[in-house]
Amino acid sequence: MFNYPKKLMYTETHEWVKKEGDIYVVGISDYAQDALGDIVFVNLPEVDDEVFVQEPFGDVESVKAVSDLYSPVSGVICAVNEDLLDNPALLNEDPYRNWLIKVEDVSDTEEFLDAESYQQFCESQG
Amino acid sequence: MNPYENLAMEEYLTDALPVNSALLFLWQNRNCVVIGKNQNIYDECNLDLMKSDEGKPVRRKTGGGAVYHDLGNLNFSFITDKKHYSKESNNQIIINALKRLDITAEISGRNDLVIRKQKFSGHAYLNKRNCLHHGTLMVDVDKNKLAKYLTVSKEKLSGKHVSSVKSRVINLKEVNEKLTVEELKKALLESFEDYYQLSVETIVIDADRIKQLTQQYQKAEFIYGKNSSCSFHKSCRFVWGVVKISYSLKDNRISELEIASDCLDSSLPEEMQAILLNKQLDKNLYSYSERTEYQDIINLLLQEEYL
Repeated sequence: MFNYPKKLMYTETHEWVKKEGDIYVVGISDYAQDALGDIVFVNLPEVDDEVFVQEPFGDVESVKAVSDLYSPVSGVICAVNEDLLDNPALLNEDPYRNWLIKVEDVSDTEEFLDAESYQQFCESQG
Repeated sequence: MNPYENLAMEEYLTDALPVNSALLFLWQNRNCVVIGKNQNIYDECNLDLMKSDEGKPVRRKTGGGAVYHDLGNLNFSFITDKKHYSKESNNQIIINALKRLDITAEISGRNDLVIRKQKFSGHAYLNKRNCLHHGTLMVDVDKNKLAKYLTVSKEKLSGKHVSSVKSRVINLKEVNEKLTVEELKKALLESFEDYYQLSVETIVIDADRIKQLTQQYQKAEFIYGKNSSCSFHKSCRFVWGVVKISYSLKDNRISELEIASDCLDSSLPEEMQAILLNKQLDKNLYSYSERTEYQDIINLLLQEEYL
């Protein structure tokens, strides 16, 4: 069914997180891209913007809806994946390669789920 | 009836809805074009024609395409928490309401309600902490205006935005002659109550917050797009020469302008630039100079028919 890479951490709002040194890389999960359907537009913050745990940092428009994206960490944006602005469908094609934001100076994180717990969570959503 | 206030109220209610509740907000806008969150207004709406009829440009925070509203249209907003959100239930509530009015409607594709394949209702959705499912219900909309405002020349260049899909439309009044917006409202509320069978609760409205949100919806930057200074290219042969114009708009002001012409007066482009830069693109531009060349170029800038 869906892909849940073991090396990533996940949230119940369907973001994935990967830690690279002090930087947190954030994207959306395979389950999320499938639930959203074809993504037609992505709104992302700018470098140096602050993000806060469980607060919206951007949104995606799919053929189904506009949906908020929630930050799994509090910190400062150090990179934004600008490829997505020109080609939002990349999120459907490969949600794990196509990250959304990178966050540094992280002061807080939510309690992440590991791949197995996240998969269980998704399956319980029906 | 003020579209900006209505959207502010809708957003407020979406944020304020208590858990385990469902809300139906019914509202109407006077003459306006409402575009989707990620659309380019210049691509979707004939702003000049609409503004000359006192229509208002509006951007909403849900996705999808451009729609025309007037008082022949009734808008609905279903607001529920995530757990109880069901687009299917909401559609069923509308279909049941219409049944009470002797109208048989069905769901078409993802986002439309239709009667005999003709659309009278377009829907859009927002997933925040709570979920919003809203849409139009055409009772007696001025279809001429609808076509007039939503038809835009395709010569315009805009880049990466979400485009509208054109549909054949029908007014509910064409199916049930006697139908009024008031009756439709009543039927929807009854159908909503029947479906949920919930006790009624009151939400206290924070008027200052609504005012704040209204201002946000009214901001030119929000309506016209914050980063999208947009490029247009037009050309025309006049009796006095051929003109090619490229210009960009920011918040509907002319932010960049280049004019190339083979006319004999070589100072024309510079003079025009001096007059036009940073001015709003509207009919007031005619008043700055009486020269034929100037008037012709303003015609070119303002009128789609020249293309």
